[in-house]
Amino acid sequence: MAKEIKVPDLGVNVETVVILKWMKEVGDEVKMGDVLCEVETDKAATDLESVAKGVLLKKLFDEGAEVEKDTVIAYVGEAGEAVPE
Amino acid sequence: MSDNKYSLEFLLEMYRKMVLIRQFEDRVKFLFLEGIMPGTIHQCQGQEASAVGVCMALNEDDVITSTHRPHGHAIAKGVSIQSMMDELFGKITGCCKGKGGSMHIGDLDKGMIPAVAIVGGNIPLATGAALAFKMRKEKRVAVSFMGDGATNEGAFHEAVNMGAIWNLPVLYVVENNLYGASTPVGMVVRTKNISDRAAIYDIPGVTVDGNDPIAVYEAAQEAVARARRGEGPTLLELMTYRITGHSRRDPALYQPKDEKQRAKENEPIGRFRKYLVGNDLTSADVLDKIDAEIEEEIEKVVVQAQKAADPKPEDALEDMFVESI
Ligand SMILES: Cc1ncc(C[n+]2csc(CCOP(=O)(O)OP(=O)(O)O)c2C)c(N)n1
Ligand SMILES: [Mg+2]
Repeated sequence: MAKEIKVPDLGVNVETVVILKWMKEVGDEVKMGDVLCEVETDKAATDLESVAKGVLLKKLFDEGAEVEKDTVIAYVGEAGEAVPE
Repeated sequence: MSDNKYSLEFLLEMYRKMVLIRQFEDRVKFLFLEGIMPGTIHQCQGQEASAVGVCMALNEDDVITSTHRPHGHAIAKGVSIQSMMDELFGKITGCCKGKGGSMHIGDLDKGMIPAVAIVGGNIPLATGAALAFKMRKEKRVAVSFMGDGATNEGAFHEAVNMGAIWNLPVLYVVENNLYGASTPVGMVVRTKNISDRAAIYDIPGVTVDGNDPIAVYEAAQEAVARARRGEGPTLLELMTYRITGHSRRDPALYQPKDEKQRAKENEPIGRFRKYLVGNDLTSADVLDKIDAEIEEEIEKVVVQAQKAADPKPEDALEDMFVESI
């Protein structure tokens, strides 16, 4: 099953992050811990690492988007697998 | 690394333990990122060789004390990873019955006094354990693991001085990972090496490549032998690097990119693999198989830990005092 990649809890008082740059394209192979994108909190820029392995199936936000903590931003799973709309 | 004088079994055990630590830490990191595991955590990816090299030079009944970054030391000393994972999930089956969490991992039956998160706080404890061994005329040794930052605490100087004047069977092991949280060691320590600080207590001070498990093992062996002979403590400085944040949410932006890159190339597991395979001591296949076995073992441990029971409120009143250790 495709696994949800969410914005993790990045610290006290961090409620939203801005997606600065996607480091993977849809279709790219992803290992656990690979950096999926760079995000910025109000304190610093940091890497968002994948907590799943497989292929990047879908990105739900563009660069520059502001996203709340716990929001699903991408799916990682087996190539060709369906992802929720 | 010098010419090999160790059995393949010994070398593979060294490798297996380092990989067990790395994979345990990585798995825990992902559990945190997914929001499955609560709290904060200090991890030791990149510092595995120091824990393993030192603990392989110890006997089962020797004791260690550790810090806010204790997982590697615990695994190296033989604390079960199931009891550790259960502890991290706060379960009653955890090594501290779910009351301690990450920073208080330990198991007296395995020779690990539960870790102390107060920087420097574990150094007098190891010294006290060593004093007990000496007074009881037991041939046991105590080890205090600490960070570079801890060597600026008063507790360090008081404890090392006491260990020195009474020739106690103790090793003061400094894992110098170049930072105390975000503070570079050079900003807060004037001497070139932290081991130079041994001179004022008139004990041996040695600086060793802490990412070479064999070099660490040999230095620890010598210090342990000295301690067992009743000749007193050694200050062992192990040069290493933390290839992860200080704590869970630390992006470690104070670590320069090129320094980080060099550290990744110098991390102990990759280096040891190259040594073992490059010297035809074993094959990559054998090592990959060990990696895969450990991955499977850890997966089972995670599943089991999540199923384990929570402590009950009344359990909070248990284990308040111990008679003796
Ligand atoms: C007495 C005390 N002061 C401050 C802290 C907060 N703190 C936790 S870890 C740490 C840095 C310790 O650095 P070091 O001893 O080098 O160990 P490392 O984290 O590098 O393993 C600090 C300042 C603490 N836990 N205890
Ligand atoms: Mg340090």
